[in-house]
Amino acid sequence: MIKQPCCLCGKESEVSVVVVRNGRKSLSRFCRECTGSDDFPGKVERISGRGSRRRTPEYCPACGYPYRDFREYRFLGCPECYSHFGKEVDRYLKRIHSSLFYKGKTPSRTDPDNLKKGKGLSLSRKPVEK
Amino acid sequence: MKRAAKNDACCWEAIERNTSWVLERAASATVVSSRIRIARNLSGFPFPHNMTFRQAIEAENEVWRAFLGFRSSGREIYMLEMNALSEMEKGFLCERHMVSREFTRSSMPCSVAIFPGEKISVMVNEEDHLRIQSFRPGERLDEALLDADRLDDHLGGQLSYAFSGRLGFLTSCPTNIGTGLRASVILHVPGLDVSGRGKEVMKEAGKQGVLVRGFYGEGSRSMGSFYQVSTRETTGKDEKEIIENLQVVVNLTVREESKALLLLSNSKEKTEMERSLKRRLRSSSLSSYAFFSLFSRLVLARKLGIAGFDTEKIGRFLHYALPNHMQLKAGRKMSPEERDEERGRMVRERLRRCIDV
Repeated sequence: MIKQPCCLCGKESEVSVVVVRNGRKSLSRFCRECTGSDDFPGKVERISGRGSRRRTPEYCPACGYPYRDFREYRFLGCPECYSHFGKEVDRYLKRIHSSLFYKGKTPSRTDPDNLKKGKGLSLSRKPVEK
Repeated sequence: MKRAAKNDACCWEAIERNTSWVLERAASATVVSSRIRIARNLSGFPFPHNMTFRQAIEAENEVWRAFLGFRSSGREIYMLEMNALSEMEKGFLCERHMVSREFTRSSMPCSVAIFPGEKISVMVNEEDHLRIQSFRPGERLDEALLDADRLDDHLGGQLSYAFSGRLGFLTSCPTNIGTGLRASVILHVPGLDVSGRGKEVMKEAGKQGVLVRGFYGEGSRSMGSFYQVSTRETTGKDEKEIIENLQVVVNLTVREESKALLLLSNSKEKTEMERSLKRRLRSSSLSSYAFFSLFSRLVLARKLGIAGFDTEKIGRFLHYALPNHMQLKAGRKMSPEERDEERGRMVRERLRRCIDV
């Protein structure tokens, strides 16, 4: 299964940080080295998300795939990359496909939440360790 | 009874006997074969190019378990671990279109499952975790889709696919997102090629939203007068609509080929064609490209009434002119020069005898 990488450097994470902002929780994972850095609170602030103003992460928090590799090779690292690199991927998809409206079949076994419009992926996640 | 075999010799012989789906009609039909390819990925795993060795084995094992419950209409399912095969065996599977060229070069754990009953092969851990390929001789894309769909439904019930309600099936390369479906046909149009209209018609086909590729798909060269035409769109339409567009292009090309044949049959070039064919049949050495070109001219000669032969018998020569087929049959590695000479010998001593020219 996917090892959760550090949101800042892509190394294996050991610490999970949950930030609650306006009643919305966001989870980020970090390695020990990054949590020890001086401006760590600022970085958590930036990464934990600000709705539509959220920046594209440098690495996919699920698989550690670097965003720069997507820009260079146009491949994604895991199904979750589609939501983590959201806008950039969408922009590229709009460029290469004449329509993004999905009309095809649905798999027989799927998480019903995934079928909601705009909702991401069926990547199974382990419960957060606190 | 089904048997899941892992790289044993008798299973290999059976594969050779039961997988000549792609070129079965090479000597008789304009639409030689149809193929449906479906790309699927497992949720909870990175895409194959981003997996660790261990993750690749885990994903492979999950897929293998899911295969075993499938009720195949054939007696057996063959499962081959690619890393356990020799270069020649990998090449053989590639020449039969069972696997892609990129797949044969992978150093990660990957395998192919072959379902002779359904004429299906499934690559595990190619660019996507699953690449289901369903084949049919002639223009039977609908049937190929039905069989691919049945296996996909079975696997989809056993495995958790990476799927988004908004985008569809998620793939490693965004060009395949949505249905993950690519339909393709192999066209054999010697009439258009000889009358000099082959490239023009294929260019026109390209404007209708299809991709014209070489004989082995993306990045490969065309061989003889064989072309692979495949769909471009994978989303925005459902599976049937995607196929329909390709069917229209195929019908148009078949019509153009018939027109070209009609024009050629009334031309004065027939005598020159006959002379050139006789000369080629005496060649001392032939590359596989030259052999395919000769094959296309032979088929054209038959359609124009210049030569006569049993299409099934002649069709079989096509596979055995390919480098890895030839080497596997000889049981040893051969240099390109040796293979060219062997091809020349095959034409002079065996193929020529089957032709009435």
